[in-house]
Amino acid sequence: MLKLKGGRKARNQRANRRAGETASGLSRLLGRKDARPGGATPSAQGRDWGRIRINVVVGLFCLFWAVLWGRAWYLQVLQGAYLSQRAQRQHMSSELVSGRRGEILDRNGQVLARSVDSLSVYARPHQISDPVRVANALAPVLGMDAQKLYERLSASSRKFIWLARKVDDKTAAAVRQAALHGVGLSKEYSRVYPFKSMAGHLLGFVDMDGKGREGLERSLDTQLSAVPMRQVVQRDAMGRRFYLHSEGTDDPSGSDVQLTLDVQIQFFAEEALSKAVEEHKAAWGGVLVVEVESGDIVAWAQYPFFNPNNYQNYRPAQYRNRLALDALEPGSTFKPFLMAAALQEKKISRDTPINCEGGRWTNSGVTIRDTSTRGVIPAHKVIRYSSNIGMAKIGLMMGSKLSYSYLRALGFGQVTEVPVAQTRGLLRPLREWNDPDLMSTWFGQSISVTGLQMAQAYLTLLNGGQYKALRLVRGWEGDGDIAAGHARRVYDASACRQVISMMRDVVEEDGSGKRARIEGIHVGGKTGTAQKADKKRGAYGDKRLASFVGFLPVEKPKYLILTMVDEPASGQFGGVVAAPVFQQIAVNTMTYIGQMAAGRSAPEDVSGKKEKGGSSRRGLKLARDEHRFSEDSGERRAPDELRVEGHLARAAARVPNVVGKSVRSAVELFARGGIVPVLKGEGQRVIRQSPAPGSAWPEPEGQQECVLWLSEK
Amino acid sequence: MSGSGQNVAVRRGSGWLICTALGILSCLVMCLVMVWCNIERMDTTYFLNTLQAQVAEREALRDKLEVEREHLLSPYELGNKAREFGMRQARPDQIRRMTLR
Repeated sequence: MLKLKGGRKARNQRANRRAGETASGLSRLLGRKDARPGGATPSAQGRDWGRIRINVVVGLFCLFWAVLWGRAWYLQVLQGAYLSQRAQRQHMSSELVSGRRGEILDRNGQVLARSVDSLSVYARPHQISDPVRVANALAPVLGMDAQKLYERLSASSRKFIWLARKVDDKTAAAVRQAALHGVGLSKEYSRVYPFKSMAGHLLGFVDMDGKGREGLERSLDTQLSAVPMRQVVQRDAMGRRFYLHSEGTDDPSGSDVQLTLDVQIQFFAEEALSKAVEEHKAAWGGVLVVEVESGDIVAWAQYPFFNPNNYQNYRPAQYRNRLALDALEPGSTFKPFLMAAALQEKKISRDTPINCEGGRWTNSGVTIRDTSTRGVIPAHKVIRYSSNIGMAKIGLMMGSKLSYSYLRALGFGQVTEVPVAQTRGLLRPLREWNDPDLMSTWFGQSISVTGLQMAQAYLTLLNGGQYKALRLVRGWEGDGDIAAGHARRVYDASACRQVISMMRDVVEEDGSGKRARIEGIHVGGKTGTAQKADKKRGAYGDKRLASFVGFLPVEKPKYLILTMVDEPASGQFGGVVAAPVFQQIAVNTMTYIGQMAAGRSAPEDVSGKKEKGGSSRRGLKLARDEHRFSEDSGERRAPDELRVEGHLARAAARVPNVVGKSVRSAVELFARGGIVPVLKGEGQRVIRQSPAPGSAWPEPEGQQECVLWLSEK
Repeated sequence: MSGSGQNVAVRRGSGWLICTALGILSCLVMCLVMVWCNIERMDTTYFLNTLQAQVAEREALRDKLEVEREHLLSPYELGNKAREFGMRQARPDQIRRMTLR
């Protein structure tokens, strides 16, 4: 216990001493005058300076931490929301993504228009420190003048300028390699039309910003263009983007549009039309091919061609979709509609005699002329001989009111349901009709219609008088409503049958459409040679619109083909200029779909001349050397390495024995001799041949045909 | 008796210190792991970004090649090629349609 007391006493003494030292130390630190230097006081002696320093350091450390925590508290709590927002703005940004435009496809899925990634070169002038160097480096890459580029870079007050839009990959790579500060590449989409000018007028084009400006690109812009979407993008300090979730990989894209066109039939139409327009030195030509059963437009051709890939190189008149936008007086191709109306209304019958007045007739002060000088003929021959006088007389029997109502019911004076920009044409109001108007309307004057309206009206006629809307876009949203809204009957089936029979006579008998005949298939049609108004003279001039509307086979029409050749310099008549175009397209199309049976005639050239050398020419030569699409009109041999094995083999000196061989082997053997044999019968084995084995090869120009008879066994 | 009580107190005090030290250490480790994860995440993001760019580039190239293919297979181009190799359009009676078995 004493020990304990003594111990406590000693501790108290030590504590007092320490307190004295501390007081003296603090007094010294505080500079008090009574503080004695050198530890003069006994209490100052033995002060623990190390401890003091430690305390000071601890104090400073605590202070530092307090400041740090205070600052953290300030940043996190007081300024937290604001700073977080700023950080968000810096690292996260939302971008408006326009997306890829939808594709335009044909009925078989072939792509007629598609968008591909493309890069554009831009500059941020305020970031460019040395415009001279940038201009000198960039000008040769972009194919620009260095001086002009320098002026653009140095004089522009804008923060962003385009230097070149949608450059090719090579240029983009060169710009990237140049790595110029303030110059960059931005992704865009280019619209590409792989088939170039094919259906160019119909497809139209998009402008530099991807907006549809003409044709289907314009009228279907809503479906094709992507709905712009905002995407949240994370950026790093370098400005590189990181997409969150699936953004960036699932860019918005427009809907694809599938047309009813068939690329192959389109090609047939364009090929035949271009030859006719070139040959007759016409202003332009147009063809519409319609599948009667479905109302699908399978070809929409216009010449001169327009290549939407280079739309900048064309004038508006050159890319005008004339088949839908140009309303012209149709001429005689208009007659069948009104003839059907007269039959329907029982104003005439098939055999009602009509006096054609020997080809010249004056009524109501108007003189009407025919190309033929016929007198009285039955009504059904009025169409065959295309008598204007006969039609005018029937028109007077019908009267204006009935005629007008039929024309309205057929869709004249209204736009069709086809989703392209089109005109209504000119069908004057009933109150403005007088007798001369009535008469001239009956033979296709005083009325203006588009090619599309004509096709629509003929489709109704071929559909047994039931209105059927033309269709160009598959799954077009209006189809159902249109079909329901227009399920109207314009003619009785019997009236249609009679008119179709009259149109058959135009081609198959001694009518004006003989050049549209196709051996083995019954064709119906109507020629048209419409005078064109001379605007300067205010009267009809010398120019003509040659047209032909035909269909085949007559028994159950599969295709309707409308051909227009405007202002041909030679020929002028629809039966001479337009009918051969129809014939060529029809034969090629029927062959393509496999409905042109063996033994039927080869397509004639649009000039009406048969191919020289007969059907089995020696050597597989060019079909038509003058073909305008051929780069080299001269005959060329293929390099040997490109020839297939069969071609390398030499032909036998005489006709080989191919009986018992497969069709393929037999045809190859004959082909080596330069003969393409005619195949008869069904099957894959040859059972008989002509010429006989061992006989000499027939002369190339000779009439003898090589025939192989086939059988399944 | 009191000595053992002091020892217990000391042991209790050192246990608390050890726990605190371990807590701080684990916090530190966790922070380091988090930093490492973030770095890895960013690294992976850059890697994915590069791959995405490559995929996009190849898809764009594929689209362009498809356009070229479509152009080469267009009837006009095939017609030109056919004429170049001495071929011509077959007549209807020279065409046989065979059913594939």
